[in-house]
Amino acid sequence: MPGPSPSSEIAVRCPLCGRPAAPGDRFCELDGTPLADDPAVEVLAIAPDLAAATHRGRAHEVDEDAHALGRRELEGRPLHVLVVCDGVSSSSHGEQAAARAAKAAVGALLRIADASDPLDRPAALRGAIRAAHRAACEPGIDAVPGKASSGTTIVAALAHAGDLDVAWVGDSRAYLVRSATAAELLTHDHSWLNEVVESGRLTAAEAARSPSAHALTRCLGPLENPDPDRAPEPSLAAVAGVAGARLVLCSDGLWNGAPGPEAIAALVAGAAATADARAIAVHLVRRGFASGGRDDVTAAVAFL
Amino acid sequence: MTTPPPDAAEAFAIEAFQNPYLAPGSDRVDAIVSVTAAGTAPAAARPLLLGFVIDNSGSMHGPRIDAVRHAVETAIRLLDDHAGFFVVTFNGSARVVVPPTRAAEDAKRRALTAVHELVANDGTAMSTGLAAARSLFARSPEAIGQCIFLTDGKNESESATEVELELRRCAGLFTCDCWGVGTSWQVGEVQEIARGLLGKASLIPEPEGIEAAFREAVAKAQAKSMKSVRFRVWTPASAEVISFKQVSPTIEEFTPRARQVNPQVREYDTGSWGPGEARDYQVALHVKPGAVGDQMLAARPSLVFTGPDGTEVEVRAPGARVLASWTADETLSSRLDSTVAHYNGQDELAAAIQQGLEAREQGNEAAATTLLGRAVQLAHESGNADMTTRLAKVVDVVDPSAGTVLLKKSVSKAATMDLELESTTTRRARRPGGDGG
Repeated sequence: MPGPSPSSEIAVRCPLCGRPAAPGDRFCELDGTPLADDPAVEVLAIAPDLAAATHRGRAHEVDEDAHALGRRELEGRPLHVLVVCDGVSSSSHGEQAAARAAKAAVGALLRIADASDPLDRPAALRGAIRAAHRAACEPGIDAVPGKASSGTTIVAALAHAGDLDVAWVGDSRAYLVRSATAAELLTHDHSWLNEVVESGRLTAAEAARSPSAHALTRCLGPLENPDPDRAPEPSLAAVAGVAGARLVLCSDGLWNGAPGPEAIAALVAGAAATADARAIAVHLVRRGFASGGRDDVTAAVAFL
Repeated sequence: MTTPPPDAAEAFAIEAFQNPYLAPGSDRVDAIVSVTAAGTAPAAARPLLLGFVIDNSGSMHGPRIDAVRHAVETAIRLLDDHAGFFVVTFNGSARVVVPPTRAAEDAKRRALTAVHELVANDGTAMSTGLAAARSLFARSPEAIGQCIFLTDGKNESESATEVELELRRCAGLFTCDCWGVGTSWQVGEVQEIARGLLGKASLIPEPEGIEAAFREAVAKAQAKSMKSVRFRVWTPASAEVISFKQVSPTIEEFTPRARQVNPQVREYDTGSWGPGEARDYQVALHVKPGAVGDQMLAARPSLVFTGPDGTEVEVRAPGARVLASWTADETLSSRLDSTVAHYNGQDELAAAIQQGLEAREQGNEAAATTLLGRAVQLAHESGNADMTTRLAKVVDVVDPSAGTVLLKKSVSKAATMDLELESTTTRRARRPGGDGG
């Protein structure tokens, strides 16, 4: 009846939730999904209320998404810092620009938060975008023949004591999920689609059919502006009264498969009721991967 | 985690039967998990403590108490000398006739003398007999506690609540098979005791049958080698166990008895097991519906028991998994697994008999004819010959495959009680490629 003896088995870990698989099994011990087909996944869990996960897409040899997180206790309440970047795939080593930008932005936000009292959140976010652009423009990213210089999107969030501020450049997004059915999209993509629809040249349906629909109109790094001191202007949003909500930052790999806020809310609600931020991030990228799978999928999640 | 010794890890064979394919959006998974204990007992099998709990109320006076004396004496003679036993009688109150003792020759002789002096008088308070047995079993926690409970009448000297409360105190300490002699006892009362203590209730129509029943009970008890075996069900965090039932050898509802070990693990006490013993379980799960192409492990069944050295042993079988696999192919998702279907049928058979007998009792002959006819048809289709024989004592079968029957004008009370008691005894599913027996 039984297979190999327990001593001969090597524990396999679920790359997403980190739990070891049962001896002789290859299933996630949290949600039962098979481990065999899971491509490389990176998970970062800072605390039960703050985590991020990236699921590498089938079309990319490298993971062009990047994420970074930070957490502080400020006046007895958590301060959450989340950044998601998506390297532009037509640019030279967009993944390097993304990784640098994410790391620099979180570093800058934490430094500013630690040094300021009171904290001016929009100013801190602008400072973080500048730091991210500077990092992406620093020398050391090799040019790839036939590709433009390096570029990346960025979405950064700073949340504390029920207040949330978001800054972004490009088409990485922030969603605020208040319940299984109530969610809102906080960002507005810097994309060709939005531009032509706003100018009235095309309807949203017409624009969506164009191959350029997802083309970015703004990004970070030398692709946008090789001058490290001339960062593009980010867009900003602020929401008050967010305590108890879930914040989701994501790359287009996730929202391409679930564009509406209600779809993201349903995905968040689809994780187990007892799920922590890590489990929700894992669930989101897994579902995002299942519905598309060509592109990288990144989600950063905070319980506000 | 402890690594069980190889023999303990092979104490059970576990197999799952199901159709894992689900239509998109489907969120229910049904499976039968078949468990068979290894053919030889573990090297360090536990000792047996067999308790006789005997009704000696006034109604037992005469041939019944004579037959009981004789049957208990025979049973004691049959015990191996390393087994332990005791005898408790109850009427309005309980009395320890033979305290727990090892079945050595001299102890057996003393016990036989004590049993020979049994007399019957007074009322019936079943909980007192159970309570006395409980206190004796509690002294030997290492032993496999098995009880033989015999009565012939209604539990008229106390309220039903007394028994209910006592059963809760007894649960986990010992298992109990029950017999009712004659037809003056209540099926529901005796069945409640057997069910509460993971045993079976049976009818002995005439006192002469007691000895054969006790012989069989002793053989079964002496074969037990593992106690307090738990059926464990692991599920993903997003899944729920809708129901969990034993479906073979008898149908027993286990759902409300679940012990939640952690959010993803539930356990159900299955009592003690003997070598080669086979039981089937039916599990129904609610899962988060997946998209086409998604697959998930919906449940992992395992058996858990405390090994001879006191460590917990979990027996898993690599193949025993309940899976969910969503597909757009309807020919796959619409198929019903034959084992699952078999027990759905046995479940319906039990319900048809119980409802049919109830309708007959209430004088609703039309409903009784329809329901018992359906029961005859289901028993016929599933090859449950024992049930067909029992049904034929209550109805005249005209056409078993069509379920056409006529209610018998005169039916013995014993036949009706026996049919009701055995309605939940299932025919084991045939194994693909095996006989299934």
